[in-house]
Amino acid sequence: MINFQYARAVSVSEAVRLMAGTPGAKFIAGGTNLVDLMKMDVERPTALIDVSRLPLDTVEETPGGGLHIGALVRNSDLAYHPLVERRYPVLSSALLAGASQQLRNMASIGGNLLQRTRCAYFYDVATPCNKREAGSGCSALGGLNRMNAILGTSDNCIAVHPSDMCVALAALEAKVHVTGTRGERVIAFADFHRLPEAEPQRDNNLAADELVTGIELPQRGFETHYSYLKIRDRSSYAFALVSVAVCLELGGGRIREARLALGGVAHKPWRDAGAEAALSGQSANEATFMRAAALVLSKAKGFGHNTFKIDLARRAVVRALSQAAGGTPQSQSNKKIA
Amino acid sequence: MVKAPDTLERADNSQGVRCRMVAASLSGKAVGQPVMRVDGIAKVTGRALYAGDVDLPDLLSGRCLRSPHPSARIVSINVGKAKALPGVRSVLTGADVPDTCYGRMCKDIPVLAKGVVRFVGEKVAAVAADTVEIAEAALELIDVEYAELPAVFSAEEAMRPTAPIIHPEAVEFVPGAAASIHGELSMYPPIPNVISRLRVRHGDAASALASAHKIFEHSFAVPSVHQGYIEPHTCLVAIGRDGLVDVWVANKGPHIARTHMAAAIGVQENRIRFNPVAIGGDFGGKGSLMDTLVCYYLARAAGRPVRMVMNSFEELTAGNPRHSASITLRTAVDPDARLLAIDARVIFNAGAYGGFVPVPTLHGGYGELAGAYRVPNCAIEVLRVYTNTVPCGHMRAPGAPQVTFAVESHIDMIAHALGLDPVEMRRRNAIAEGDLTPLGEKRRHLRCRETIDAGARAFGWDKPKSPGIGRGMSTYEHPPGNFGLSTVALTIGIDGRITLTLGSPDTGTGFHTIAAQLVAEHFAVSVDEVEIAQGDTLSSGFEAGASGQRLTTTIGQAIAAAADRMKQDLAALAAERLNCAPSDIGIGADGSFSAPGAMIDRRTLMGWAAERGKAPLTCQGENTPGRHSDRTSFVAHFAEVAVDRETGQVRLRRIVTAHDVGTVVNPITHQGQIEGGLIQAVGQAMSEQIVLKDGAVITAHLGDYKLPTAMDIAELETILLPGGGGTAPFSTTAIGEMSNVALPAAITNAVFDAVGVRLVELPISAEKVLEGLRAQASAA
Ligand SMILES: Cc1cc2nc3c(=O)[nH]c(=O)nc-3n(C[C@H](O)[C@H](O)[C@H](O)COP(=O)(O)OP(=O)(O)OC[C@H]3O[C@@H](n4cnc5c(N)ncnc54)[C@H](O)[C@@H]3O)c2cc1C
Ligand code: SF4
Repeated sequence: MINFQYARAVSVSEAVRLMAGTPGAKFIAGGTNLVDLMKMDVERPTALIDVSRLPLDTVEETPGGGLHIGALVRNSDLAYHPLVERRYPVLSSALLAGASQQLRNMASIGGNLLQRTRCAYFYDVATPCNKREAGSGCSALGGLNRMNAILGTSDNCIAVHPSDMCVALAALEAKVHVTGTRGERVIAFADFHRLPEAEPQRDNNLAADELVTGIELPQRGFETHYSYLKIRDRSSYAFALVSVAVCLELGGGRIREARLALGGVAHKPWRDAGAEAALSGQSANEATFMRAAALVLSKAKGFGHNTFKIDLARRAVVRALSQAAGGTPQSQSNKKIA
Repeated sequence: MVKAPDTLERADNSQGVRCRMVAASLSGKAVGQPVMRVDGIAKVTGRALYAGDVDLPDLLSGRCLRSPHPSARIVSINVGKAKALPGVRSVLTGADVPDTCYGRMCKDIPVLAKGVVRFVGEKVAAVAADTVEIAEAALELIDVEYAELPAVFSAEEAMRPTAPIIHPEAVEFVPGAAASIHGELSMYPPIPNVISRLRVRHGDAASALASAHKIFEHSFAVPSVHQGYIEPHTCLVAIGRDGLVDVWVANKGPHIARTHMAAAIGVQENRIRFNPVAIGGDFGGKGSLMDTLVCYYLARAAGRPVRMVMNSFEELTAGNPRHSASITLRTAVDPDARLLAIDARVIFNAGAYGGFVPVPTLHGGYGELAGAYRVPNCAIEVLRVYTNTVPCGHMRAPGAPQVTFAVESHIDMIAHALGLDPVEMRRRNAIAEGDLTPLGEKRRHLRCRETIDAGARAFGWDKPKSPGIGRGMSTYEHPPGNFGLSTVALTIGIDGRITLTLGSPDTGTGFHTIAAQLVAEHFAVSVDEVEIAQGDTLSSGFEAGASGQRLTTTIGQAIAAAADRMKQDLAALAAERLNCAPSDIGIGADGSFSAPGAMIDRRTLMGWAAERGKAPLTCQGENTPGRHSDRTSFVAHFAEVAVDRETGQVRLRRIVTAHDVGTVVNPITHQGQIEGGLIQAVGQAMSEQIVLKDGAVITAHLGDYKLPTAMDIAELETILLPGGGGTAPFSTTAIGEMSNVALPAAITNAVFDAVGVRLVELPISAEKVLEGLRAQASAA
């Protein structure tokens, strides 16, 4: 770790001002990702602007019937918030599938959104990595890429966004509220994270001086037919090989509306409008689910060690859809399978 | 969860009653009691002193620059800029340290790379500075120019005639260490990169295989795993004005480490003092000097004490993990499924250096191979091979988990191929009283079948199960170690309290508590009256250290010898005080001394002796080293899994572990060894693996190197089959390396039982299961 300056911001405007005036600075909230990366020498900020005490730690109902979640609400507080548990259970479930209890107690919502990839080469400063050092090359392409992406990859990077929470937020069509020197703006969730394309060093579309202030959830929470399924190597404290968030609205044995997002497969939470369209209006049965799953994975591409994920993701989509349709969502505390 | 009854029951051996047993002759005051750890309060309140806690005036921090290449020539190193950084006190490269190489048996590890690097992570330069941060900043200022050389990563490839030779010069090794081994051993035989080749034979396996009813051949692979201790390798070296070298290091065997250090740095043994420290877990990984030699040279160059602590990245990339292995077994059976012969070839990938291992080859690679079975003919070949990967060391039952995974999968595969129940297959072949081991050794108290039966009964092996659920078992045999010298000193103070001085640290197993209980038992006092003093290497007698399940046996014998002498000395004192002959003195159950018509308790006697200059009293004791005890122990594990055919996920639902035991000195630490070992084995089975790519460790982070979490641990039931017959002095057997070895095969056997997928390579993963199911479907 290298030496750095430290400042604690007392207001959003001060945080933004400090950031704009300090080249190479980074915001720090819970620190569970950033400090780790600093210790590994992956992030070398000149200054840390501590936003953890900003008054952005509340969950409030919006006039439109949705929820506004402050960027500094802790992951565990949000997971166990009564309104979230009752009205947006898929979000609660996805949060509880992430990290470990101790980490969730520290981690903020904003930090979760902005957490960086877990690609092993991104973490190993001795190896080339375009995301860490633009233009240096991608070690994962010909390397050990078991945890890497199968959808939306580019020749420059095949990293995945590691968040569980974000997969549920994508399915729920959340909005991200941000404030920068040029003022406030609201970004649709699908436009927040980006694909690697030619600039894998950029994880998202946030400007350098912008602070995430909160997340807005629309009124629809899909409280009956949902599931968050996460396939991983151990029961806790492990990132997804593949995860699936499903929200369904059923009526008369048919699917009225379907939301489907995948985690662990792409540089951003992966939604597929085509597959969702293929589900709606159809009867909720295995044949429908398999068709949708095949559509999602139709453009998937493996890189050797991660090729198995294509089939695994297909199976996980079918399983999560069945769980959601059947009203038997995946439990995060009792991971009974089979 | 353990089902441990709180009653003391006398057991019917064959029933495997769950109980804690102590031999009838024991006082019941100490041995057999669930005594709290003697070092427990110090540890949980932070008072225990670990090597990293030691602070000295002018202490510097040392860090190492490590090689990014698996094999390269060092063309040049420029340390000018690093030396000029304010706060840097010494900078060393290979050119600044002597040519002597270090090793516990094979002396092949340079202090710092000399001209070549042989693995990613090898130490190339070292810096001591005022702070860790300055030292790390200095490392970035060192310019090293490398010329890459051909590298080889797999042991099989390293043995090919065209393979690059990793150690072209002859490697010196301690010949004595090779002597004790049985079989035909060749060190550095004429096969490229082979450190040792051991061939052990009993009977005539070739003929038996040639004429057998049926032959089965299977191959297995087990990856390298890390010991997973909490405390990283840490050392601190201070050189006094008088030249005395003081060392504080997380090392399980300070006396032997001291001897190795003396040889490596050319300083007399009695001018080096290894100071006592607590150890935060060892699991076999802390027997070497690791950074201690670099630390010494940094301290010498800087003229100030230096501390070095490895971080978790260094631990995972350049610690001394368990060897990966590939194992091929060929077995002959008769029409009744009886094992006639086993031919085994075991190849251990040693990594770039062999010096972390104190023996020619890993004992578990052959010593207990198929030891639970009657196999009249056996031929084992074990190879240890250099590659350009992280050097491997010892880990809990070195070699045994790898080989036992192979044997216990193989036996299961044979049983299924023959249409035989896996329990029946094992019962039929279980070694029994009068049989020789596969290596032709005689052992007594062979309760393999009883152990299997007790476990199977508790597990409900024959009960019906639902689809997707699988059950598997495995078994293993291993005797306590009785090798290596242990010396202790017992002192009775003027207040009558007893102090045991020993040279072995408590590596975290609870051994100091066990030692206190053994002492207390000899004097029929409560453990509170015994103090444990871990001496430094100048003030304590020689101790070979924790390894191979030996401490309770060897230090137990040393304590018994010292206690015997002490009792004689005490009787002589009492006789003097009570005016009678020593032969007239009786020792009461409460430890008091009596003569006809008179009696005196120990405290009063010592007070009286002190006034006459005859107290405190000290007596030494030592063991009589042998090899392994001839009383062996058995374990049988039963595992139940649920396998998800769609996602390939395997969930471990339940474990029953049955152990054939002697006297249990402390039921808490005993159960701790069982549970800790099982959890380690769950890790090896389900998620742990040091993943390498082109020689570099990819799982270099504890997020990627996946130790099991509490949520991954299954319901556990422990069955103890008491039955004595253990080793002297209190008829104990060993538990430390019993639980961590065989479980992975029980789990993969259960996966096979559930979905018919045979995993011959650890760890279990979703993709391996799915691949197996896919292959199954396309075959159908
Ligand atoms: C071992 C381990 C396992 C984990 N497993 C999982 C898992 O399975 N699933 C999962 O989803 N997550 C997992 N996590 C990640 C965890 O969820 C994130 O570390 C956490 O959410 C980050 O939040 P934080 O507040 O600590 O962020 P910080 O570490 O403080 O910051 C992370 C990044 O976000 C930026 N940032 C923080 N707040 C803001 C803001 N308001 N506006 C703009 N930028 C901001 C920081 O500058 C930094 O770049 C794991 C983490 C660890 C260490
Ligand atoms: S996949 Fe992306 S993060 Fe990983 S090495 Fe390639 S560029 Fe770096």
